[in-house]
Amino acid sequence: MKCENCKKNDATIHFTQVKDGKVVSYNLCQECAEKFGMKAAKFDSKQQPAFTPDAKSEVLSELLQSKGPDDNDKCPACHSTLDDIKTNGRLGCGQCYFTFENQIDVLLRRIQASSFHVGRRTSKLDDRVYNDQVTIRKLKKKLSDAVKKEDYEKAARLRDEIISIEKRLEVSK
Amino acid sequence: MALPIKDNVPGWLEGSGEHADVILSSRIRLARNLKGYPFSSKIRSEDEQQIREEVLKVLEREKILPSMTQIDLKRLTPYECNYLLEEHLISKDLLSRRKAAAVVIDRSGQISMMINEEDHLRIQSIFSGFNLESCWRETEKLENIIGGNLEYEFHPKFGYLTACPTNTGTGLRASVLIHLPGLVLTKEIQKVLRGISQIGLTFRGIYGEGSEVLGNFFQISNQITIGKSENELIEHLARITDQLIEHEKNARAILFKDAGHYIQDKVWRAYGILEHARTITSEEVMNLLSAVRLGASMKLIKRLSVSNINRMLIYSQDAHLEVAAGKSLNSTEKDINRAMVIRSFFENN
Repeated sequence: MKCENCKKNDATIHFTQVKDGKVVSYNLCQECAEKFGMKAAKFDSKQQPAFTPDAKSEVLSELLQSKGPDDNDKCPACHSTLDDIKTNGRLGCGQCYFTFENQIDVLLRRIQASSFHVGRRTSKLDDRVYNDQVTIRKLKKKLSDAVKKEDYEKAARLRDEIISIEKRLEVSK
Repeated sequence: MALPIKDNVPGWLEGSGEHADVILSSRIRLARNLKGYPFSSKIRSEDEQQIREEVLKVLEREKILPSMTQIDLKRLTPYECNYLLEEHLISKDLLSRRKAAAVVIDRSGQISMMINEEDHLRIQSIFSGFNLESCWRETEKLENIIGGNLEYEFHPKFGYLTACPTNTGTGLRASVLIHLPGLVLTKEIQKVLRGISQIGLTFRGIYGEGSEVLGNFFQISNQITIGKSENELIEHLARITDQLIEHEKNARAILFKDAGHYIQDKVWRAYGILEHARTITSEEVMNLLSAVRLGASMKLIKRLSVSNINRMLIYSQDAHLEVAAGKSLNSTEKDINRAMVIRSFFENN
């Protein structure tokens, strides 16, 4: 990914700060990081890359900093909270990925190439249902844009498309 | 307890694969968890027991079990456990979970599966030399067989779910064990490793504590496990490894051209010590073997093949010495036995 400041160099320094109770993350290149006075961020060739399996629980801990309302949520299956996950550096069970979907999405986009798996799959049905849900979300957004622009013909078409996909989802349940 | 592969050389040590003069071995591992059980940090021993039973039942039903050795780690002595670690058949993590941990290994030692490690299943394949394709083929085969009988934890967006998000998605870790004395001696190694760490790959020394690198042996693996397909991840590693091999061979050629006498002296001194020393520490043996391996790959040393040197690397390690002796050894005994084992490689030629 490119440096958020100069947009030219590759971002090799990634860090987060907690500002006013919000978690803000930055992705900068070496030069810009030093410009902002991040002396500690100097890349030491002897240093392990920021994200090795050994450093993972520290990163997990940092990135799962949430001061939001979800903090006391418990996974219904294994009863893990975000705090538990931070302490263990691991998720408790498969259901945790659904319970804490948003935080994990953010985490994966930071530490991995993306949060979307594009490799092998198991159940084909799960996929279709999920893809339909994603499509509906996108269409609804387009629908509200169309209404704002007063393009009611387009809005009507989109609405019909949404209804037909929703019908299909009902059937597959 | 009789360990598997005690007398047979694990397939991946053969040193006969492609580019075996630079690449020792290739490895692919897939992490999977079974649906309906918590992950390792929350799992109970009844669950672990059940997982083991279910998986072994599948292997039996699919008629794979007869050709595999099944090992219950809690029945092994500490040095037998370390032996498996030295053979790259199990991980340190599995050892820390000895009570519930098991591993199944096929006869060739090229395919194995850890049960109840950080994830319920860790399927792994190791091949000699540069051979990620065979690793993937075998790993995928076993994963398919198990997946055809048991359901894996899977999320439509996040893919295969693992205990740690660093493995989520494909659950794939592909790596190569690579010998880079040329790049180390020409002092280009820092630049190269820095470059590697900026393109989604990580490296670590395979011998040595912490960040120390002994013997110029490195393991390069993919860092990313989600957002790219398995084939893309493997191909990326393969392409970079190709470049590394090229860089290393060029560095070796330069060394021999510009510092021929120095290198030859280094290689032959190492040869001399290995052939005659009466005690050697594990640290020293790594460095000496690295030098003779360079010599053998450059066809300087004819009496020891790269394949022999690979064997020496493994058999000179602590737990291997203890298994050969049939008992635990103290530090001095290890150093003496190590030297004996090494000398035996010269006598048999």
